[in-house]
Amino acid sequence: MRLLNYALPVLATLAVAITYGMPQAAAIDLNSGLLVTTRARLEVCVSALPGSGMSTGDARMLVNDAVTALRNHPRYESSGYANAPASVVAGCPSAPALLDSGQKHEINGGPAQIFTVTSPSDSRTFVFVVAPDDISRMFGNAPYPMSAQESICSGRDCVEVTTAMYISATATSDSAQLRDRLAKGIGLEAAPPQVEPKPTR
Amino acid sequence: MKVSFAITTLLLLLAFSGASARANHQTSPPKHIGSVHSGFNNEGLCADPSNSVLSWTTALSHIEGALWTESRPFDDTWDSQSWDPNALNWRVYFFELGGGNCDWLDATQRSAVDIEYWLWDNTNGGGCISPSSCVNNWTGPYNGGLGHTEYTKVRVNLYAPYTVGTSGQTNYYRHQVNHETGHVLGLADGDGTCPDSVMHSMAYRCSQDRSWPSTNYDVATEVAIAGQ
Repeated sequence: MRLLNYALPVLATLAVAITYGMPQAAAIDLNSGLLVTTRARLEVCVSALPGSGMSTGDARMLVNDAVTALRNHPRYESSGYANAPASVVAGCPSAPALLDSGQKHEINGGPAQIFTVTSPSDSRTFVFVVAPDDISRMFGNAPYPMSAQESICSGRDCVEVTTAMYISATATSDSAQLRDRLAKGIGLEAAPPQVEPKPTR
Repeated sequence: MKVSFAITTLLLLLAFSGASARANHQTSPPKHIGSVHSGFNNEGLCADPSNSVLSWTTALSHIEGALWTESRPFDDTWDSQSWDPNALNWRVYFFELGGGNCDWLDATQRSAVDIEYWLWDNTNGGGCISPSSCVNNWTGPYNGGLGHTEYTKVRVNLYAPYTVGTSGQTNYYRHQVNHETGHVLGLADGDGTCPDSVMHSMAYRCSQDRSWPSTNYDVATEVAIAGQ
């Protein structure tokens, strides 16, 4: 009974805090395709970089069409994306991390790695339309050039919560290819293995 | 009175955090490298000793030794199931990819690596608490309506002196590599119980640091995860 006397006030305090709101910190949410608790909807941002051969406005329209088509994807709803209308916005809130770092691919550096943030952006996926040469330099011939754009750390465990897609203007203009790339970029599908030599032992 | 309040708060915290013992021994919510589900996507790995005094050859030989070469005929490894020709679970099969330090691989090769094993003289540099090892930098997330998140790539940070046996118990690197690889495959740390498991080690108040994953517990859990 004494235990109950203390449990009830604590529960009540929690209920009040939940009802009236506390500052919301970003927490990793592995149950949802949105990846963090601070995202209420699927948002994709689009930036076409100088030299890519496409304007951000044109790229946004094409990506918007692809995202709209992906609403029919069999995993769209179960990924938590159907809870609110998706949004595709022109301009991304940060520059392409991998491109700016000059790195070949991800996983470089330690805890102060280039991708770590404490407040992830609202966009689940950044679409960067870039020159084909930049894609080759960063990803070689990998069929799905993607990288972490933002990671958040819980203790010593750091996980990607925002994906950056690097795509050429040509691929962006190909609706089937763009849809396929976006399905991977927003986490509806896994990117298939890129190089699988037959292992021998 | 203060004691009962503390107990109440602790009970509530436990209830809200879901920190109860988990019989199935998986990370909760599930988090693992996605290739475990696939029979054709093997687990390509690379070794990167550039933050340690080790050579690439030494580093790789110990990682491969822990994962398969020193445990022939593969009866006590994560991929032991893959050697059953009648099994459908050719799902976990480690192999070295690229023939060199992770950071020396070309962009195409590096993009194909699933697990990067980095060796550190001080694992603080990898985001761990030295001299412990840890797994982090999970990238390439996809949810796919699975109710959990999987990743295409992950980094394992290993304490180099353990890896080559210059510190710790004899052949401790086998435990170190297989314990951290267990996390990559979705297994959780010890939870206060002590089944025969490479995850339930002395750091979690159990009596042994197994060198290899146990068939009946660790590999069985891994196979269960792969089948989900």
